[in-house]
Amino acid sequence: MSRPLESTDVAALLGRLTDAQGSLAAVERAERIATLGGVAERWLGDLDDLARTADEIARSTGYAPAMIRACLERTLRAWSTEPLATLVERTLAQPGSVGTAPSLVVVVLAQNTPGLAIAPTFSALALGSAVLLKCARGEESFAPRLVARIADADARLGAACEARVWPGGDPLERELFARASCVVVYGPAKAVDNARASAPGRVVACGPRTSIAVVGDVSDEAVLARRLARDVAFLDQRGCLSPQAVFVHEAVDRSKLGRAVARELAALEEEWPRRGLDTAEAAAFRRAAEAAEAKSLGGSGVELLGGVGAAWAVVVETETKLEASPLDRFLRLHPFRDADALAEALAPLRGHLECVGLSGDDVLRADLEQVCRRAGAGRTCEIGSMQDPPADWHASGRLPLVDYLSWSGREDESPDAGTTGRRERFLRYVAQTSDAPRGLDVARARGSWVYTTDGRRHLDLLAGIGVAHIGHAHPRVAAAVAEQSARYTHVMVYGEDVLTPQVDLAERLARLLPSPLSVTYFTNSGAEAIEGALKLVRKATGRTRVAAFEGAYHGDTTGAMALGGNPYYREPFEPLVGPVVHLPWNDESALARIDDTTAAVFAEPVQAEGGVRVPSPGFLPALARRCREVGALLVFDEVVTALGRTGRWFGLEHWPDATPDVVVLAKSLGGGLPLGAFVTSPDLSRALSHDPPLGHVTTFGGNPVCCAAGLAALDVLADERLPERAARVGADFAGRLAGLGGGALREVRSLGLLIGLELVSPERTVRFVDACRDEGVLLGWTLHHDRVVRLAPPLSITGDEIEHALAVLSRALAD
Amino acid sequence: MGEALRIAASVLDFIDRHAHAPLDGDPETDAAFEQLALEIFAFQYQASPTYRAFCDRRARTPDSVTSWTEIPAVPTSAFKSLDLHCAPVEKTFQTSGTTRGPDTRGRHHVPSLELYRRSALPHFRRLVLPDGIRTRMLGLLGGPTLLPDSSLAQMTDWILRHACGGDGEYLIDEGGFDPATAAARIEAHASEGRPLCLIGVRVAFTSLLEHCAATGRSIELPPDSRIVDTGGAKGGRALSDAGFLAACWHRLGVAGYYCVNEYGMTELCSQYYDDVLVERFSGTNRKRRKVGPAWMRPRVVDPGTLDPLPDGEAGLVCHVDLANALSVLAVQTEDVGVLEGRRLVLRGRTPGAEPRGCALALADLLAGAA
Repeated sequence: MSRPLESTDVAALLGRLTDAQGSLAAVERAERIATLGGVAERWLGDLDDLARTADEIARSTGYAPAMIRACLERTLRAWSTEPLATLVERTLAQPGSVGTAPSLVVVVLAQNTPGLAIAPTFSALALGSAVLLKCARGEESFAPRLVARIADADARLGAACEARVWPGGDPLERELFARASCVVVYGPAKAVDNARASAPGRVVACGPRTSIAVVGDVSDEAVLARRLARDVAFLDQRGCLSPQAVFVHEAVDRSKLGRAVARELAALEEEWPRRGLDTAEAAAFRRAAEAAEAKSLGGSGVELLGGVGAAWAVVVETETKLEASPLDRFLRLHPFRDADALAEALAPLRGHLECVGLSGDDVLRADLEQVCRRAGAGRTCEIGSMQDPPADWHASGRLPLVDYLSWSGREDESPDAGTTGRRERFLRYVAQTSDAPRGLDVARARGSWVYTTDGRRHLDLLAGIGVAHIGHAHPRVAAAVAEQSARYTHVMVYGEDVLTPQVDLAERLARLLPSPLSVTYFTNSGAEAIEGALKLVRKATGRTRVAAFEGAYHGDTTGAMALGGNPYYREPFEPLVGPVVHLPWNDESALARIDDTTAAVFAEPVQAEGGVRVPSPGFLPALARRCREVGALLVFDEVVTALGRTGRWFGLEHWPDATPDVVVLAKSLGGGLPLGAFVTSPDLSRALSHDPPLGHVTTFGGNPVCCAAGLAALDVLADERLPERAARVGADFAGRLAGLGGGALREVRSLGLLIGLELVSPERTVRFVDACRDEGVLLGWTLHHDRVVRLAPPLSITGDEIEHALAVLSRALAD
Repeated sequence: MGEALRIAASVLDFIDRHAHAPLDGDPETDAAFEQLALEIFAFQYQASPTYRAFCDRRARTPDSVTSWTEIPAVPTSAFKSLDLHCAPVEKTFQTSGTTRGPDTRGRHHVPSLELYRRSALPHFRRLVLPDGIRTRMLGLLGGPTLLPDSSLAQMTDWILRHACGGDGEYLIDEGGFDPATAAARIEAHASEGRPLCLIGVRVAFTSLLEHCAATGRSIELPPDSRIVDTGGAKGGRALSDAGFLAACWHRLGVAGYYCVNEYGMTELCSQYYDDVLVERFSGTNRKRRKVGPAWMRPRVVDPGTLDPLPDGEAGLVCHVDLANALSVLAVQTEDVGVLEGRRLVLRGRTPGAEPRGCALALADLLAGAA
């Protein structure tokens, strides 16, 4: 039995494991693999010890000893020398996977599948990592046995692994997770969440999943029934590889097959008697059986074989649609007409489907296999082989060791200057904006991807918060920056000299924007541009009061923050610039509060941080009309929405009857360099150049290098027709996001490639964002809405990248 | 039909004879119950092919069943898909599962409203008005006009109309329950000095009590006033038992032992009530338990096997209600309870199963997607 880990032991244990991991480097990888494979092979030959081990596990889990032994034998065979060597070799051959091992892998076994410890232990040790196993509650015998056998084979490997038990979710566990290079969790969502909270970005989550079988046709019913029954009953249908539903082609006699399977399940009770159920499990089984019985008694054609009072229940259903089904030997047989009907029936399983067992002739089978793959099945195989997964299989479709190596440092980087040291210096010397910075240790970025120094890459669905419209580090921007900085950088403060990149960019903007918006004042950022616009509207109108909207975000300088529509952020800094009146967004009836004392109204065409809130078609025209009526100016903050984000060059193009007096730009304007601007008419622009002159100046605003970068980015946007592409791709992306299953997603809102996903709760949103981050997809919730996740990927995002994003998001929503 | 009438007449006779039998039973009543229960079981077995098939699957027939405790109980879930009745239906009541469509609402086909009424009223009087007092009845839920499918609305209507000579009034109308209006009307009635009996669902009481708390309003109900809450947290927030009793005292001036909780269900024609008032008037102050009429007996069974459990052990509550003579005599619930003789202590619903292996149960997956 494993020993409990006390908090006083942690430092010594981790020190010992770290030392042992250091010593592992002296053992060649091939030798480590041979040792581990040898452990598996010798154990397979040690029949007495296998029997003893199975009996011991049986005592704690209740599973039949014969079944446990079969399970152990299968697992040990899958992790013997040859398959292990092949797996490691294939993994390391993956592009970008050449890495050193993570120093410490902590494995949480929060479920008691016999022999589960073998895969993560062998994986970690084969790669050269130390491994600390947390045994499953109630099954604390196997992992220590495994560790002991490894130590017997090679003391150096044995010293690098340890099996213990400790309470979940307490400070001790949090400390272990914080110190682990990577945490592997086998268990329910709660266990995964615990790990993610303490080891953000370093969790390999192996949550619960489900499997099904599909019978296309039957050549030998008795054989099929026997094979199917063994797949179903293995681990009492508690393993993720046991089918819980069988889809049977309508040409097959379902009732006859059901009876044959029921007979086989009954016969298996002799060999693999079902473990006892606790009260809640028994009640769940009984309830489901009672419901099936009621249907059968009601003349629906449903047949219940076994059920209440029996050790198993087989329900021959009449509909293709999946039905709720508990575990513990409860099997439903559904009919299906064709591949399309099967695809529809499998839709609820997207993101949860582990394995599909198939039976049928080659042509039909290939068709059905396609359907199952599209439904997200990680593996398909013959019925009867579902419980024999090879070592190199993983539900994600990736090689299983890739996840471990994702967290390892690259061999060509010095460990001393590695992630940990830099992160500490980042926290110590760089002023922080929150207690939970994202903390990616960025090595480089290109296109839609951010690469970190640990060798991982991350799909950036935020585009650096709406900056990288043309992708990160575009070569044309890089070239323009190099060229301009070689020619000249800063010469004189803004507005004095003729600087070609500045003039060219201003002219380009004037041509893109509707008349009379033709004069640009360049700044360094969006917030500065808002400040300039604020001064402009006050000076131009002689009024001081401005209006803005609840839920709005315009920046964090004192004037911009005063316009922000969330008191939570404003109040600690008050008094701010005023007076400002905040109106409800998208509510025409409130526009009457804009009156002849109002200098201007500031609005985002689509509220981004407010939760991606697209106004109704009449709202912005009504706003523009009201402003004209009372002589107030209209300022559109297009920091987020401009330059193609919404599927047009500017958000204002969606509302031709609502042309503003001032447009504020930033973010993507500089092509990745800091640049902001506010654009207005020639008349209005004069307000800042007279009475007094130099009443609004800036040293670096419109820096020529930044303007050159912005021009290059504009060229890319135009040449690659990215605004039009954003409209097309955004509609498709948002539509497919809306089709993702699971109850966690409440709404998808979008305009172009500005997409908001509203989830059901803040907790679910955090979990979703964390799960995506763990799988290398970057997104974040909006500032003013804790249930809305914003997606604003580069407008250049490729079709394959969108497919990848959809797969990850689908899994994360289901997680 | 003739047999159904005869059975119904036997049950009415039983009610008349045993309405005042000791709450904890007596040999004569027990023997009569046993005899009539077996008779009704035999009748239902013959009259309902569906129930017969249900019993046959369990190998329980009138020939093999020798005690009321062996009568196969139909799970409440079966009321969602099976039409179980043994005589022409006079009225169909539906459970309140309104969020998942009509398929998931249980239906109780009641062939005789008379049987239902004659079962409901005497036991209400005995447990809620044991002192024989005549109170004005105020209903905090809609009547049958507003809630035509609700058996609770029907029962409350009878209580308002008949329990105290017809002196009753609804505090809810087509516009829904407005706590401010209700509070004003209760206050007006209270000012007359006559004891009141407020009856309604827990969420309505919660709304009323929260309104009183928010507005700082306390209404002192006249002495001997009482409150009957019929449970039910559907459609809103409901106070816990302890919070409810405390609020009744602080906001309405009604002491806990004058607050009686009713436990009933659409699938039954008889109800249980807290024994707190009868205990009070008999001079004892034991912890509150539920007690049903002589014509309904509870049993508690193992949640997995449905085998009977001894007194004191928690399990699923099953009811054998003779007033269900023309529909389903024995009903198996998912409520967890402990039996103390004839009396019941409820302990909520059956918990969900803990995940063990790495499989994701389809039940959990589809429930999450719903």
